[in-house]
Amino acid sequence: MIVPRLALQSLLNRALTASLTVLAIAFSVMLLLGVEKVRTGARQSFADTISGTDLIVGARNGGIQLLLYSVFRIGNATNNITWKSLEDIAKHPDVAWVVPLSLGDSHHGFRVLGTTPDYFKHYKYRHGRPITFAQGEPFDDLFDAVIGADVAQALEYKAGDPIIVAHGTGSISFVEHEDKPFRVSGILEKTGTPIDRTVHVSLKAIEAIHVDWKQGIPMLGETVSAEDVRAMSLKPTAVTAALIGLKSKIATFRLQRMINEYPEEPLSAIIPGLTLQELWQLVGTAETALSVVSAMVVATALLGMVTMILTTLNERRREMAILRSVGARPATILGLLATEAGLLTLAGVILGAILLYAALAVLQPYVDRAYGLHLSINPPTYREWITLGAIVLAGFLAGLIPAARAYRQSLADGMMVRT
Amino acid sequence: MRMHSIWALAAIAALALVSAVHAEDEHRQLGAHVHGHGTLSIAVEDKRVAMELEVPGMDLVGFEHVAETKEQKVAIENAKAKLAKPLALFKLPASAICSVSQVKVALEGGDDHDDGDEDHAEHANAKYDEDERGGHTEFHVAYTLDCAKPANLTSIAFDYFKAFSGANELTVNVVTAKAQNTYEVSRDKPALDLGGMM
Repeated sequence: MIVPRLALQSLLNRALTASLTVLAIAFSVMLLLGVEKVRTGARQSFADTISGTDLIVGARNGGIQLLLYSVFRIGNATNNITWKSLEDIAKHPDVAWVVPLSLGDSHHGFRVLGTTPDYFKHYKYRHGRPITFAQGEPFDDLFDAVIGADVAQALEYKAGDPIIVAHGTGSISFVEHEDKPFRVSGILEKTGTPIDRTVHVSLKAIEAIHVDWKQGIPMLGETVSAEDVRAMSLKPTAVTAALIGLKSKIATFRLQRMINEYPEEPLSAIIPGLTLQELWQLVGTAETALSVVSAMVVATALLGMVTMILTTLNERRREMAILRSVGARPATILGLLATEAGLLTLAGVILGAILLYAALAVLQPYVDRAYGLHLSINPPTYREWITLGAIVLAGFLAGLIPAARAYRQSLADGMMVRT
Repeated sequence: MRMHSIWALAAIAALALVSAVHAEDEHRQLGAHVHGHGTLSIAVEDKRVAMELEVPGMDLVGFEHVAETKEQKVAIENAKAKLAKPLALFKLPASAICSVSQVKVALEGGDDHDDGDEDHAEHANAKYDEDERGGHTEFHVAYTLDCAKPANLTSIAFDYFKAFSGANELTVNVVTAKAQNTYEVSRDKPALDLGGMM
């Protein structure tokens, strides 16, 4: 037991360099574990973007594209789906609810989504958490709009403010539906999902603002006033996509097949969780890159430790020689230096883990609020324990480099006075 | 920050769209048909487990035309007999206490509409002849299981790969009240951990 004690004493003797080394290792370990936490957190937040929806139906194309435009509001649909097909699906005995989605307009670069008030009831995120209102209530009037938290923050809107929806999805639009202004009826709580960046209006409102539009521009002299529009039948003929909830999960695959084989119109149905997973697999390479970078940082810290021990070795020639002269074998010297390295790494790993959890505890609410990224505070996983163990082992093995050097130095070498 | 990552993701996704083809069949349109690769869909609600297996004939019997010789007919019958015992192909934990309540085996694109004891009602629209399926037969099996303790359905061991030497990969889609997920299992990794799904 003398070797660990000696190693500890020797480290305490060089407390400053030793603690700096420990700190370097601690930070690298913190980074490694932190990247892992962010990675799993990002993955989880991503998978939690939508929950409680059994199927998403859209025009026939790749499932990922359908997911991107219906849930993430990225890109556009190649085709719309007809209202009639949607009615057919809604009539199916396995279907509990259908929430239509209509996209294509924007407000200062934020997408406008036409839907029904059921959207606020059925759209769930993060394991079935419902959307809640920070201010106001769901749209009730034809020209009511419910805006996401980011929209409200970026444009400094509050409930009751008037807004004008622009045609098309660019952030600057030259054609605006200014004859039919909307009123902000509600503002949603931050969810960390694309809902935060969406302006929600009723499906009828989407129809209403396009009533007097032909070929993408308003017809001169044919404008229909906001009042007249109210009197019109604004039944939509087509929507972009729809969210579907089922009465029983058992029917999921059966209904998906039925929709995919729907003979009247080429439709496709996706199971959001499955497609999210597919999508995540695409960005998996970036995940690996992150892990590689943090592994390199750990390697650098260990290299720094070896350098530190090697440089002090010269100062410690005499120390080693005295140890040898009182009967320590070269093997003991080897063990001593390797143990020192192992202790340094162990201390670094422990400190790094403590720092990480402290940082998580402090930053977690902020990160969740600001980025919608939920970092879970869990004890290290099996894989993380293995990683930490491997780092300590690597530190111990790296310590063998200076140790081997000390091992080779003879007793006489240390005793000689160098000039 | 999140916005950027999403745009980056969109760019990657756009590239990958080409590969994201739906493996479903429809009117005069063929679904993806990849030899060695099948799909197993599992839906769980309460004590009921519905499983659907779709797999190319190549994987199970080694050919994809209408069985002509006696050996080929025997091969199809053997495959069907194996498919009729899902718990031997997809080993569920014994603690879940599962029993098979219904099995429907269909061979689409082959001459498989002759077994009287099997219910083909759900596949009434699947009576393609060989040309319509692009000359490739596909097994389509629907299972209904009842599990007394579905909470214990935490893993599946795929003896399926031992039973069928032509099968190499299986995409496993799982839908439960708690989550939706997709996994890949293969001959080299014939086990699936479903922890957290039930």
